[in-house]
Amino acid sequence: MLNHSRSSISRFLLAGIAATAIFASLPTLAADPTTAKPEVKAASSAAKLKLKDGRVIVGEIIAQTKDVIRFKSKVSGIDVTTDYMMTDVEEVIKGEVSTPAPAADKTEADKTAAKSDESKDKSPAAAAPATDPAGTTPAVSADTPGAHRVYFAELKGKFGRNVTQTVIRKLTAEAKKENADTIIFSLDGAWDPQSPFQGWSELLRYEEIAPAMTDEIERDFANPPRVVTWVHRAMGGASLIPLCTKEIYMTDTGVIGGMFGLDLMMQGNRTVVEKQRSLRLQHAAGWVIKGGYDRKILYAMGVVEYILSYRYVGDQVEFFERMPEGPNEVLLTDAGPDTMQDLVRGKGKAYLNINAKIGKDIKVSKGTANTKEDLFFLMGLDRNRVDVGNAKKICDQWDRRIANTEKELLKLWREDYNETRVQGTYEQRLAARGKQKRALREMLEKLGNKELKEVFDDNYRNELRLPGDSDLQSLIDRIDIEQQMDKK
Amino acid sequence: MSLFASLKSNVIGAASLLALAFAMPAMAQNSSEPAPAAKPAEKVPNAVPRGAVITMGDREEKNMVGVYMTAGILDRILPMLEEEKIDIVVFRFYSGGGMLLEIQPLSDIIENKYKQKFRSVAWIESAISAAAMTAHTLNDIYFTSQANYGACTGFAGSLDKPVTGIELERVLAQMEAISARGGHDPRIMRAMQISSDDGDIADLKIPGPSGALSATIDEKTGEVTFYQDSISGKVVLNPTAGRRIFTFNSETAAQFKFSKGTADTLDQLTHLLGYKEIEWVGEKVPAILWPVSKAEKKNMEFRNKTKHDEEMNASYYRQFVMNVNAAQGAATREERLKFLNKAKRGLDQLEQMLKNNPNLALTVMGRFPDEARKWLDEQRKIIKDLGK
Repeated sequence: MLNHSRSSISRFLLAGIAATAIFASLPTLAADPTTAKPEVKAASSAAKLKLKDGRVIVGEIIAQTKDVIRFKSKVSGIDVTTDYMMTDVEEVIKGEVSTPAPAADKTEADKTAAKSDESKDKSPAAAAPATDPAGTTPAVSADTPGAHRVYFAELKGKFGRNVTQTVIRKLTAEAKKENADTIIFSLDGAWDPQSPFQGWSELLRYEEIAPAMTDEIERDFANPPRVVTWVHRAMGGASLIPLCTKEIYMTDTGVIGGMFGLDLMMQGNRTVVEKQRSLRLQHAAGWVIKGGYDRKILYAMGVVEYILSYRYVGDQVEFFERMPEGPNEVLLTDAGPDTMQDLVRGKGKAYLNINAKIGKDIKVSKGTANTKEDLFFLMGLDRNRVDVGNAKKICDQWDRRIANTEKELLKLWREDYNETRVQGTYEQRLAARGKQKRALREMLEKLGNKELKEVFDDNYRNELRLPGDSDLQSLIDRIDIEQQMDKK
Repeated sequence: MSLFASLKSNVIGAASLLALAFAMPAMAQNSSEPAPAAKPAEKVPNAVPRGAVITMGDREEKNMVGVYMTAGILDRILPMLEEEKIDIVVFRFYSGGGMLLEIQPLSDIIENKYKQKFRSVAWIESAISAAAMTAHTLNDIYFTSQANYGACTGFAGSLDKPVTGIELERVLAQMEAISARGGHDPRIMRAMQISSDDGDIADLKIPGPSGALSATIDEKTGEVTFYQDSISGKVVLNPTAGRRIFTFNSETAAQFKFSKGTADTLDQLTHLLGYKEIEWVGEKVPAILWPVSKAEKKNMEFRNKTKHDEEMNASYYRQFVMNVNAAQGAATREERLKFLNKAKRGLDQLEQMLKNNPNLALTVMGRFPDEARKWLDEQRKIIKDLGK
């Protein structure tokens, strides 16, 4: 209980430091309108970070939460600000940097919190309330003037089924209605590949979804909001969802990938197959370019023979389409193939899967956050934020609608059509055919709905063993003819 | 039809083969030589230029060249653009390609009519294969950020049936001429059509050079020089990432000055076109990024009707066949006439389908348009005879 209280106090204090620090500092947060507040001063303290990998970094703590510490240090004389997960930090030594802080019974966060108590920020911002641990309570009340309005939507489930352009349009429409300044898509997609090239098979489906997250937002909002994806899992076609947005955060187990196998898919004439692969590669690369990322990242995700390494030039990442040629260069993908052991463990180098570390290293991810609190902190939204809308309701309604429609279609097809026997008297046969026709027409009507059509495409219908529109119409035509030829 | 329609449908593939087979004589008549002067017709200029966006395919599975993007519909909507006093026509491409047959007629109408009457430009979101080969007629090509353009290898229905030999050589020559119309280096299109690998070229039964492509940008002038090999230029474009057929993205297109710029919005495009303001003509429609002019509305209606007919043509045909069969088995003349009337309605629907889009004769009926009309006449005679 004591520890819990202390943790709460620590968070309270740290949130104050965090807010002031972020408002005044990082260029990576330039998109955040709150960074423009000039009256808030920075607060930082000299410290040493002892990392678990043995490195010791000297610099300043810019801000900190329970799980993340933002630390400024110098690399080759240049100021570099880096977010470290506390799980990677052995010890934080503040003030007297040569003397490690004791207190073995305290958590890492408590250690730094205790230190920060000593040099408490006296700025007005430090006295503001903190977010709750889950980050679900607004930092300010909904009617606070000037509060930053955040719309948070969780995209979960199957790509193209639970995650579709319709549900995203409904979400962004609500965000618009709520005058959201920021939209956060938390993405945790299901991934159960049915083929080695599933990601590429889903590319076309992705292209139907992508504009809802990009061009349509730009067009529909008078002041387009900041759009962020927070990746828990983005595999296959869904991997391009974050990559078309300009701001990505990941959980520490988050992954963006599953686009492998482009150069293995399809059989046939070499030139014709190359055409198919080339057009797909550039379709996907286009969305990565739109997101502001290097297209080579996509090549490395999709092409086994593609070699990619990188190095830092100042604070920038420079990519090379070759093996590393020096100690300061890092290999991302080689020309494969991977061993079976590495492949099944997702550790291979043949294709690039972007995990949280790689994401940060190559600056695809702006930071690692395991909780909403950490995410808001990294985004500079841990204070003066109001959560708006009810995205969960929209997503739940959509999921229910899909499930119910599936149930209804199966009933219509199996029971009302297939199990109805046309027999007995003329009147009975007439009634039976009427029932069959009604079932088929109702199926056509449901499947003709534009929103549902997105989900119940040919693939899904095959999975459910439901006929296509043309076959349904054919059955109706046949019933008509049979009825016309029937005699009393 | 989907974006990758040519991959999915053997029917379309067969049509492509047919298309290729008889596209060539048409080429001879419709010379691909650049028009002597591709200038807008003289007219009183609008104070603020008036622009219209004409979509060449859409995202709702209506984007196949030759089916949803035809010279016929461009010809039909042209007078509407004139009525609306349009100065600038922006062809917005979203298409995964289609029939070789339609490339030449599309190129001809763009070159000989549109470029003469309007400032005509392409705005590419996706132009693959026959779509890129069509857009190549235009001199000014703009990209969206996510755009792709290229991959123009011809094949007939399945991935193991490339266009080869003399037929391929004809298409290569056709595209050299269309490249000249658009003012594009012909090496670019060759790299999009055939592989950069000499071994692949041997399979295609044509002499070299291959489709390898490299380029050098002059550091002083910015001028780009292309080479049809992978060693002469400073940057190798084909192959890219191991892929041996070339496809532009917005970055490479801009870097090598193939595109005139990258625009995601009409405002950005207006700026790139060199204007402070363009009056984009048409009605605002939800979910469409530009105003919809009368001509574009007609263009969209054409695609919708085509789509409906593609989905329903089997039903039209069944209605005809099943009712003819029923009529043949009918006991009385009165009953027979009842069935024949329904059979006639099926034929009428097929006829309307072909009136809207003659190319559906190829893609859904597997016949050339003239043959399809002849077939319809024969069936009408059968109905008439049965009704006696």
